[in-house]
Amino acid sequence: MDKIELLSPAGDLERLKVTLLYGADAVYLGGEKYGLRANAVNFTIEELKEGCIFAHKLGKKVYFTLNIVFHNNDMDGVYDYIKEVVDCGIDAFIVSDPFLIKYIKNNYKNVEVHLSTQNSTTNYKTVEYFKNEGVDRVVLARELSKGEIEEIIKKTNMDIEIFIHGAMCTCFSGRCALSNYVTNRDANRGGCSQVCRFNFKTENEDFTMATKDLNLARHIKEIIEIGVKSLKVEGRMRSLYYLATVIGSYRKIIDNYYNNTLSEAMIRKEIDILSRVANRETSTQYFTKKADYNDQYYTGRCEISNQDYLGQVISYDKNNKLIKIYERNYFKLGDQVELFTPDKDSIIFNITKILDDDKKEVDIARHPDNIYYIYLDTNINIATYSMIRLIKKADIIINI
Amino acid sequence: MKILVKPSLSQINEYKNIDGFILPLKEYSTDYESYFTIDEIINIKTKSNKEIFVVLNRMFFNEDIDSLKQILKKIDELNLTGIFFYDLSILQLKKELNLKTDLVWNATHMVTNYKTCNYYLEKGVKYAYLSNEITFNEIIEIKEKSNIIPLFTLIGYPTVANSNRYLITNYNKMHNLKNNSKLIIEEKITKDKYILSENKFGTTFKYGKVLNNSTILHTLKEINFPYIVLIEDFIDHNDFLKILDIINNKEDYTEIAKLVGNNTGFLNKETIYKVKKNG
Repeated sequence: MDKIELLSPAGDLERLKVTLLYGADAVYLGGEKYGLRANAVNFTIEELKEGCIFAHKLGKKVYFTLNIVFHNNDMDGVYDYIKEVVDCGIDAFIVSDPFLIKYIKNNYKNVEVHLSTQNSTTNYKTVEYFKNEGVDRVVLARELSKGEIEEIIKKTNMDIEIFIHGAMCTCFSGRCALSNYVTNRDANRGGCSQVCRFNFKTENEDFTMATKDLNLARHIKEIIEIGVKSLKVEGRMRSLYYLATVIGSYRKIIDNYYNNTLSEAMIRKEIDILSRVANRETSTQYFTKKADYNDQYYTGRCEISNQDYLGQVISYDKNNKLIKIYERNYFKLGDQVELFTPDKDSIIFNITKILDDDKKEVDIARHPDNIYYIYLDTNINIATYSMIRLIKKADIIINI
Repeated sequence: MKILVKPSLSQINEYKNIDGFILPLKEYSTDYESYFTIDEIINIKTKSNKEIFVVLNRMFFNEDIDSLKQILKKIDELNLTGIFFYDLSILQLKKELNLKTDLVWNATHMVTNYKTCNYYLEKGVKYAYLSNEITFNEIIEIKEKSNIIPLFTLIGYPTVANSNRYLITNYNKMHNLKNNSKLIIEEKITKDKYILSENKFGTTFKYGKVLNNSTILHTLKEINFPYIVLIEDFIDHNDFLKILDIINNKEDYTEIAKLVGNNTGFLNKETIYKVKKNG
């Protein structure tokens, strides 16, 4: 059995590197044009080249989003742009406008075409249609149940990708122009202003429709066993820490499944880790039943600020046993923290010594975006992009 | 230029001087206020010598495919002018079942460029119902650069979004309100209203202002634009008949604005999508 693919978003080159190092098998990303995240940082052609080289050295893949719904003017230069992107070494395009399917298949035999979820493909006949058009993979609509996904795979034998984690749309993808009407920003061309997270007035209580996020960590075994080819995580605009954590957790669940070591305790632990990095409540949305009353919010935007992420490791001085970190959130002596690495190692320890950038001892690291040093005596390989997260705050500063 | 009407009533003889009807098929279509059973459509077809388009524009799921096949076969026997479709399962089934009825590509917000129109033309689709979210210049360019036959909404409440969720039911349950299937909501900054309606297939959002594109009607006539569409849903029936009368019998269309306002939607207003450079 081919191992299922874990597909991560990559909003920029650094996120691409982090997410591949933390266990993604492939990344999807956008360029400066034609992607549905027009307001993310996105990749220049030079960055894309570097990203493809980095991914391919690790034996991993890069999928390029070209999934806007085109207007006439958008087509100026699109074919030249496609050539430039292909020359960077990408492995597949993710498209939604079907005129591109034919063009890419006719001109670039070695590049796959994946049909974007923007097309909201909800049944096996539509999958058959795109299979006949030469599409290599279909990213299904997020409105489908496990049974429906399984039936599509059985009846079409198509490579199927599904979303397993992250934010959801309230409406069918592609079938929503709320952003166009409310803010004049074109949802189908990458300008979505997330109007479905706004509060609206009615003659009674405010109306809201914001959905909870998707989390299928508990269902990975079933998803693998029904024959899904790729597991997609949402979030090209998410932080490095979020991506490292989410991809790291799903990597462990997938690997444990194939190693026959997947246990309830292990899944529970990873779900706990995922919940600490989440900024909204999660549910299984349509996977286990039709999304209902419990799968949305009634109080408008509900993002929770998360301060678990303490910092990113820059280096480790083995002689002095000091981890140099770039601080992201406040921490202090006595806090219990976890250092985790792209190699899936992790150590939980209490902070016993903190030095500031001038190597002066301090009790508290108060200044995010500054350099600090934390004492840790360990033999594990603390690679670049290792990170430190809070496990438990000390009640008081403990001078040890 | 032909005029198509999506009527609210089955009494079709009230709609004078039009060329055809757009009839959303009950259980198979969405985003409309009223729907028609297959028997009502047959009845209208029998009584009228006009073009009849039937709408099957909802998303279909695996469990719908068998009944979709059956209804498509039945529709194909009726010798109708065309079938509006959103879900590409219908295009696949037209091929598989060798259906002779022409298709209208009706992907709501996605019918936005001439190349994709040409793509569907090559696939055997005869008509394209253009999105409301494109500009007048884009409409003209699509007509010039594609041989697909375009349809465009002249009058009607525009569809804004469609969700598979029961958003009104959920809202009513949360706030212990009476279970209506319709809800008017207001966006707090623009003060614009939206009309939500719910059925067993989910929730549709309509913009609260009628789209009135009559300002371009003279031009559309001059360039012999093939079809204009008038959607009666949520519009007062008498006002709607007056609009039809103005379009058919007057040179000055400004009176239409007195009945339904002068919202021209995106006709002269291009949407933006890049709001900042590199994040």
